[in-house]
Formats: sequence, C-alpha cells, structure tokens
Amino acid sequence: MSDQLLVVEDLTVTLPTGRGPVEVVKNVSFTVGRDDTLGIVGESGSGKSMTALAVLGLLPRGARTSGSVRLDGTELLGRSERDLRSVRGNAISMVFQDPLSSLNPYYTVGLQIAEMYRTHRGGSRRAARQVAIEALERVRIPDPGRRVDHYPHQFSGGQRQRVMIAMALCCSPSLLIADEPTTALDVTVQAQILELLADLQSTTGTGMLFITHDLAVISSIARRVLVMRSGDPVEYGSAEQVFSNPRHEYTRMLLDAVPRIDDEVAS
Amino acid sequence: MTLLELRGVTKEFVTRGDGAMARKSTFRAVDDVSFEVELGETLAIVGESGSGKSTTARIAARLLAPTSGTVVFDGQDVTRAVGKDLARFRNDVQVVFQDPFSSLNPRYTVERIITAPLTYQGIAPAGGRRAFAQELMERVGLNPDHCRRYPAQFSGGQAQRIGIARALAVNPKLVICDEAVSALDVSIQAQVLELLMRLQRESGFSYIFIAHDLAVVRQISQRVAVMNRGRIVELGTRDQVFGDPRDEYTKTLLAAVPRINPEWDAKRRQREAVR
Repeated sequence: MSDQLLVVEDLTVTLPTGRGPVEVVKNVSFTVGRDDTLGIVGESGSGKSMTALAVLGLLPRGARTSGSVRLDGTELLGRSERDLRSVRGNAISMVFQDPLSSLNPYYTVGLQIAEMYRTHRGGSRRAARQVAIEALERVRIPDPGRRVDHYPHQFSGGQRQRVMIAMALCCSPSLLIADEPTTALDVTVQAQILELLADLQSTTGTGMLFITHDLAVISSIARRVLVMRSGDPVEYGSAEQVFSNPRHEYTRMLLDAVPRIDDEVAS
Repeated sequence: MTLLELRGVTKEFVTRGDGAMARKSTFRAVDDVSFEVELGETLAIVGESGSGKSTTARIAARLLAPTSGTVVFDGQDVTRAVGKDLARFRNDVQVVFQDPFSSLNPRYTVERIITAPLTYQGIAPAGGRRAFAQELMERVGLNPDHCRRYPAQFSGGQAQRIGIARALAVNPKLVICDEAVSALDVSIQAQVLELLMRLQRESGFSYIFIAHDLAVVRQISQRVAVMNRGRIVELGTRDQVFGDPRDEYTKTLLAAVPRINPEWDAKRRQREAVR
C-alpha cells in the first residue's frame, strides 16, 4: 500500500464527436493522499469534470482512455463495469452539483441512503435505517429520526446537498469526489456546506477531490491545486504556491479576473 | 435627476397548496419596495434566491404588473401605461437577461436580432440596417463581419454581447441587467463587466444591475440595495454597504462570500507589482 490514495498518471480521455475524436483530457497526472484535498479548477470546457468521471469509470459511451488511475495501488482504468460498481459508492463516492436530479423523488431519503448502504455492505433493513439516521445526523440535519422518512422535496436545496453528502459517506469511502457541490447553492448555504465538508473530511480522514470553477472556493478548501484549461494540466502545486506565486500565465490571468470583495475599487 | 422610481411596490402571487383540497394562498414575493435610480448611475440589487430581486427587476421593466404601488419613469406614472405611453417606455428601458442563448431567437441572424427593437419601435436607421447592426457589433466588441451568423455560432460571452447590442439599439435611458454575467466563465465575466461599464461611460444611461454575486456587484455599482424575503433590508452607497454594513442580514451575506486567501493574494500582487 502506497502512502498515496489515488494516483493518476498521464490520463488521456478521447471522446467521439461529429468531427472526429477529440481529446478532452490530455496527459493529466496528479495524486490525492489520505486526509488530503486536491482541488481541480478550470473554466467550462477545461476537462475538470471529465477527469472526475474518468476516475469513476463513468465516462460517456464511446469514450477512450489511456494512462493509469490507481486507487490504493489497484488499477481502475480498463476494469469491468461489475468491478467498478463495487468500487463506486464504496471505496469512492461522489457528490454532484444538482442534488435534486441525483435523488429519486419517489423514495424517502432514508430508503435511498439505506439502499446505498445495503448494496455494498448488506445487512438488515432495520440496521440500514439506523445507518441512515446516523448519516443524517453526521451532516447535521436536525431531528434525523423523523427526517429519515421525508421525501427529497421536503428538504431545502442546502439540506438536499447534505443528504447527498450523507449518502456519499455512509459506506466510509476512502475517496470523495465532489464536482461543483456548492455551485447551485446560495452563498450563505455554500459557506455552511464547505464548512461541513472540511469538517467531515478531517474527522474521517477521507481523501477529497474537489472540482469547481470558483477559485475562491478552491482557496478555502483545497490543500493542493491543479489548474486545467482545454483538457491540459496548466499548473499543479500546493494551494499556497498556486495562489501566491503562480508560474503559469493562464493561472495569473484567471486570478486577476476574479472580482474581489475586500479590495479598494475606484469610484 | 431621478430617472426611475418605485414607490411602495408589492407583488403577490397566488399559489396552490399541495393536495386536492388545498386552499389558495398568496405569496408576497416583493413587499413594499421603494427606491430611485438617478440618470447615469448604477443601482445594484443583490439577494439570494427567493429574495424578490428578479421580480423587482421585472416590475421595473414593466414585464410584470405590481399588486400595489407605483412605478414612475421620467416623471410619468407608468404603472398601468398602455399603448403609445408603454411603447415609449419600452423604448427607454431595455433588459439584458442571464441566459443569452434562451433570450436570442436561434433562427434569426445577429443582424435581425440586433435590429429587432427598431422594427418594434418603427425606426428606420439612416444608412440601413446592416450598417446599423455592424456599427453596434463593433461597439460591443463583436466582429461586424459575423452579422449574418446565428446565435449558436457564438460562444456564451459573445452571445451575451449580442444581447447587450440589442438592448442598446434604441438608445435606452435605463438598462436592466438581470444576472447578466452570472452564467459566464470568470475571465469572460470580467470582460463583459468592462464592456458594460465602458458603454455606460460613453452613453450616460443608468443600470439596474440584479445579481447574487456580491463581488461582481462591487465592481460595477455606485449604490446597492440588499433584498431578503421580498424586502429591501439595506440601501446605501457601495462603499457604505460593503465597508460598513448596518443590517444583520447584509453582514451575514458579506461574511459568507468565499475569498481567496488574503495572505496568498497579497503576496502574489506584490510579486506582480515587481514584474
């Protein structure tokens, strides 16, 4: 077992398009340690989400990959769908941008968390329900014993994202991939969710791959940063280095473009 | 000079509750809102989802009628204006929406989109429509040779420039931007904000700038109204609202905005300055 949890080497993703194959991720390499948060930041079309999907083996049909994605030393690229299913939700979990489209409106949140748990860990319904209640409690949903029987529409946007996080963490994954998890949320709710993720990450020691377009969000949550542009890795380093001493022109341009809230501005 | 004034504007929507036996109830989206917009200034309205900022913008643009209260434009009560009066108002007040692609007809060329307001207002530009459209395209930073292209052939930032060009076609006195830069990537967003500010300097019109992003609002506005649950909780100059917020909700909102680590940022800027 290496000290790195996730090792991605020379990952290239090629998608078929009407105008022939296009490389949407080009020779990307990075690592995520245990108890570590790597932020991938980029604008639209940078390949940041495709990188995450490639790690999970969830790329669109027809996509081709090369390189290597190793979790705890085990190669994931090229594994069968059946193998990957036992990895996803178990060793690697994911939280997406839009909780409403990731939750089934016909089932209570408790059933959905319990289903996730039983798929990977088995056990009785009763035990899984208890796991769901504890998971909701961990993400600080008030009155979890009652809320476990509620449907997604009975939760606010921020609470739904908490439910998604509860589901993602119920099998104690070693890696959590969060793809723009706070982008659809109001700024006050975003602050709460970021705090929750940082808290859970440090108490459980889960490695986190955090994907966003928002440099300020990355700065507040990631320990290390990978900047991507049009599928290319642009800059990779500690958050402190990337933000305080960016080496690449594109990173500098991006940082200059971010509107600041505390600066002096000309009247 | 006061260009636009909203006085005690309230908007209620009738909602149906859940279930077959549910009673009708009313939801007050905008609750007793009053403000003025001076000629040439930018008033920003900020708030989270459900704060009523977009409904307020729609009432100011006369796209929605208020339940009560009045809208006064250029000294005229336009709350219930119809016919010629409404047409004159629509000539003076234009809107730029969030999603450029859904607000541009995909089957029309850029030239036709940009000159559409002229058609509605019955104006024939001297020098012809093509020249008129091309001149406006140049002003908003688009290649005038692309005037016969369709919206889908442009990027998001370029499409938003088309929407801005269309808004300017009739020389408005007030442009209402409803989350006009929210859907854009940060580098594009900075360019479009620059463009909006330059156009205002050139033409002297006013903006009502609706946004949820406080940092963006800070770049462009002179005065800021903060909305929460349908009410304006704080209204003041930009520097007062950001530098010395008085309302508790405003303080919470400002504190929640994610920031680039200030120490790192300062270091980077020192290095940049040396360069």
